[in-house]
Amino acid sequence: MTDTTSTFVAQDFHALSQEIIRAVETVIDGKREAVELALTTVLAEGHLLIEDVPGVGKTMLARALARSIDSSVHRIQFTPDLLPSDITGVSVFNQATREFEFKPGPVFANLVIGDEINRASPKTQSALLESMEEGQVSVDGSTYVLARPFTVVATQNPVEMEGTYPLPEAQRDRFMIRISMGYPDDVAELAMLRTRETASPLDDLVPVVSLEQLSGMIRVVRETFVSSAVEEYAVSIAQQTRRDRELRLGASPRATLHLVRAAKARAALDGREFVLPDDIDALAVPVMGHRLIAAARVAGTGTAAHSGSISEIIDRIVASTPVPLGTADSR
Amino acid sequence: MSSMSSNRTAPASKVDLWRSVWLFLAFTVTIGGLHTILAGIHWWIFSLLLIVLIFGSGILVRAVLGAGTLAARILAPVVGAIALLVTLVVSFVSDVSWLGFVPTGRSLDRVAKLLHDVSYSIIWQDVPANADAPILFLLGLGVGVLLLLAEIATFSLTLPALAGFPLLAVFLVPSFPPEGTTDGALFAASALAYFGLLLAGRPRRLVASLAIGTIAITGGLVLPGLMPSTKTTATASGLGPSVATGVNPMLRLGDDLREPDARVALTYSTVSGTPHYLRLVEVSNFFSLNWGPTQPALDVDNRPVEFPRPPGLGVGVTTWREVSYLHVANLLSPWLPVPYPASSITGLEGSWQYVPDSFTVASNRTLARGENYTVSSFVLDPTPDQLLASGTRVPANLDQYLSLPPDLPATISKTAQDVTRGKATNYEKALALQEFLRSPPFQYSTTAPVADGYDGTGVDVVAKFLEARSGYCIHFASAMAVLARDIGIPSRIIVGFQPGTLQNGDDDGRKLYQVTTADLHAWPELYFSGIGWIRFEPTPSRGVVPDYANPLVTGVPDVQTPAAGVGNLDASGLNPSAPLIDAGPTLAGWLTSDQPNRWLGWGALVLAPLGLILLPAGLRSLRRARILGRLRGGTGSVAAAWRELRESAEDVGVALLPTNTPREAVDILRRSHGMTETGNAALERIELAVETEGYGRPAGLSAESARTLAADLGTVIRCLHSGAEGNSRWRTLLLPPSLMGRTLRSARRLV
Repeated sequence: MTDTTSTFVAQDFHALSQEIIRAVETVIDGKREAVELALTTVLAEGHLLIEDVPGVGKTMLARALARSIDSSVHRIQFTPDLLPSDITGVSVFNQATREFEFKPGPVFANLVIGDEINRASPKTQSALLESMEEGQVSVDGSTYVLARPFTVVATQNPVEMEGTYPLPEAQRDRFMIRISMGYPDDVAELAMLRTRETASPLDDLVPVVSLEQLSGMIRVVRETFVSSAVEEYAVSIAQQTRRDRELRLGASPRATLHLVRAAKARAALDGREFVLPDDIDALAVPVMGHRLIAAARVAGTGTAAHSGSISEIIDRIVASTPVPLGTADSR
Repeated sequence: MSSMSSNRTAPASKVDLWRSVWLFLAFTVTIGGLHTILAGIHWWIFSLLLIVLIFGSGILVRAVLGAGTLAARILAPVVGAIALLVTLVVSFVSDVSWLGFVPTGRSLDRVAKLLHDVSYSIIWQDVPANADAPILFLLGLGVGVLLLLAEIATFSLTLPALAGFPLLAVFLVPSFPPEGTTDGALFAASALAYFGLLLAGRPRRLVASLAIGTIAITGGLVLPGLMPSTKTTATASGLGPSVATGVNPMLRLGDDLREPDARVALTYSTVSGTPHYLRLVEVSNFFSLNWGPTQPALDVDNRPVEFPRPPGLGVGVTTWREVSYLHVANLLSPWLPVPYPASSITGLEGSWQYVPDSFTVASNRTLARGENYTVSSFVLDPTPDQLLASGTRVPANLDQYLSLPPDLPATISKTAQDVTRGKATNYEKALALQEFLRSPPFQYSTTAPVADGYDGTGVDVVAKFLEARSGYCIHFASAMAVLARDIGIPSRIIVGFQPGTLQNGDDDGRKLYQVTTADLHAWPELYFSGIGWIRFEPTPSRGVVPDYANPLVTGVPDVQTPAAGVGNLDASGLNPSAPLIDAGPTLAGWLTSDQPNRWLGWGALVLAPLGLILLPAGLRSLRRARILGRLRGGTGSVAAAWRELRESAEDVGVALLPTNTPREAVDILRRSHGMTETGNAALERIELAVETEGYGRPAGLSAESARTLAADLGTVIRCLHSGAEGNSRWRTLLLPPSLMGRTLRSARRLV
């Protein structure tokens, strides 16, 4: 790394991130935390799962985030009859060239919004999730690399159970962060009424960050320093979830990796060049909440009905894990 | 940017060097503490040499082989031991060693003799004792071994706390009574237990080691002072009867006689009902500056169950048998009080031996205290005719009882000639000398010698006494002995007890006599051919003049009637109505005694708990000062500063959990009691420093920011302390929970 460029971008970083947040907040009122977490996911090159009841602005958040960044955006409305090829794309026979030609699906974009992902069949879900993990799509023996940066923002409705296919654990693990929107408070709801009575504010949203700028921001996040103390802290929290009696499924190593990567993005958003244990603390529930399964619960869970107790367990684990201090013990 | 990161932990060799320096200082000072029992300074310089040699060789070995390496750990004490051995050989037995420093079989014999002599030297010398060759050898050997132990503990085992033991051992030396080995065994046992504790706990932290060391040393300092030990009373002269100290009674006799509170030394009864003089020691060597009891070669075969025939006792002398029953109450003396001449002693518990010529009974293992025994003895009753008949004959084998220093003051010879002019026989001369000393202007005084500066022994003192003509028993006795030798009568000085006072009670129907420290006495014994050694009483107003030496009884011509009467048992000149306190050297007796040193005792009693109470606070402040000092010096670490801040918060009851991140902790502190604006600003800077240093890219703390951190830390801690209220403030100050917590945590780790 070269010091000059990184500091230059680091200075921009703060301004740009603030602009994105402000832009998104013109659409979503009173959801600062959710907005920041969404941006964190994008900057950490992860995928976001927004899980909540209908009408609280899940899709609005995803679209606002997509709109504020000047990048290619595709939106997929998941339905039970959606096929994998509807996502990845198909090879069609070109009569003129007499060759099979690949027609890229909606997954070929920097930002993919998957609405109501639990409505699609598992087969279709898998197609998306595999491309999420691998960053590439294989169709008819050919491999097509997806765009960079690549972030999937999927929404899921936990209440409506009929005719849905809740994501299995392995799939949920691929999302870096899960957020629940929650209902707006009265002030925010009132403000929302006033601004949206006539027109959608989304229409007025113009991109504030170019794709290059976003790449630069991502580079800053990658270069954010993680001390071994913080790494140890993240690992000991993960280890603790695997030992905890109240949890049937603990955090995967991928969860630890996502936790640290998200923490780097959070640190960068906070204007720091290094990660603090506080970043880990703040992100433990958003990163791990959707991956852990409580022991006493019935299988087929992990939905919002239990997220309350899961986050309590995580909070407890975080609160009981000693925080190491970085420097060598002085004598 | 500074290069402070390299300073964060001092290199091991530097730490070792500092430890050596501290060890050097500690031993130098501690061994200096032996000045209470050793006279002069040469022994201290000798110890200093050993300290430098042993620790120096350790430093050298570590410098060559590398500090902390296994080879250095093993070799350093070995080289030190060789250095010690060579030093001892060169210093003491080089003339019988090969090339002067390689010990041979003959050197070992010599060492054995030195070690044999040292026990006598210790027992028979007064404190502060002259560090003669045997004592110096023992000191060298002991100090050397302790130094090696400290070296092994500190560097080979890397448990510097253990070095407190050798130090403590040096401290305890003056407090060991010369009896038994029990205390030593106990000390060794507790030392072993403590060693195990340390080894199990392995408190590697310097602070913990410091704390342990401090406690050990404080204990070593305070405890011997509080314990009613014999040597303590001896070193603080005037605290008690010094004969009870097991040291030279000659020098201290005056102190005992001046002691207002006489203490019961022993009680006895006799079959005949007659009281007797009880002898402790004989002094026959008048050469040395300070006369002391002749060091006897105790022979284990000389058990006092049967004595030989008294030396020189002729067949014609009237003797009758006497049996005495003695009970020694409180006499910490390696000599047994015995009437002369004893023929057998039964009922002794300890190991005692008689000294052939003097017929004194001594031990180098035990003390007289508590002994109950029965003595069969003769009572010699020579007639004046027999004594006159011995004329001026002196057997040839009594040279040692006739020798006098060559530089004898002229007044002594002149006085002897003047007093005995015209007397034909030794007997007449002896009577003349006794009469001369008992008559005015000679007078008994326990204080005059002190005022005039001749409160001691030696021929010079005798000369001064003959001019001043005022003194107490020791002066009269030594004057008569020296004068007698000058005119050719073999003489010796005996220190013991005059007969004591008759008690109201009885002992199995026999008359009971009580002997107190005020009865301590000295008298001369003179030798007459055909009769042997007989006692004289030149001290006016003290003791009983024996019949054969009393002109009233004997009617020897030309001998004037003595001014003082016979059997003046209770004319000690001291306060006879003073209650006899049988306190002995106990703590209570010691504290109630009417002496200036009592204040010292009270002071120690008050200061010791005070010191103990303040110890935690002191340790806590010490640690804080160390951390702040390092930061101010531009070194130190943020981690230490952060730990200090957390512990300070803990001390004032602000709970910071180990699960709190620095940011959370700072938030809690910000809300704590007593935090001010400046405190908050300081907290913010501390937070930044801790986070940057703790979790940022390793950069190292610059000296400047270290100083800032120190200042901020001080500010925040002051805020925290001002926030603590009332009782909790005091509790916090005196029993810092962080210190206790640390101790508890260490203890928990042990379990």
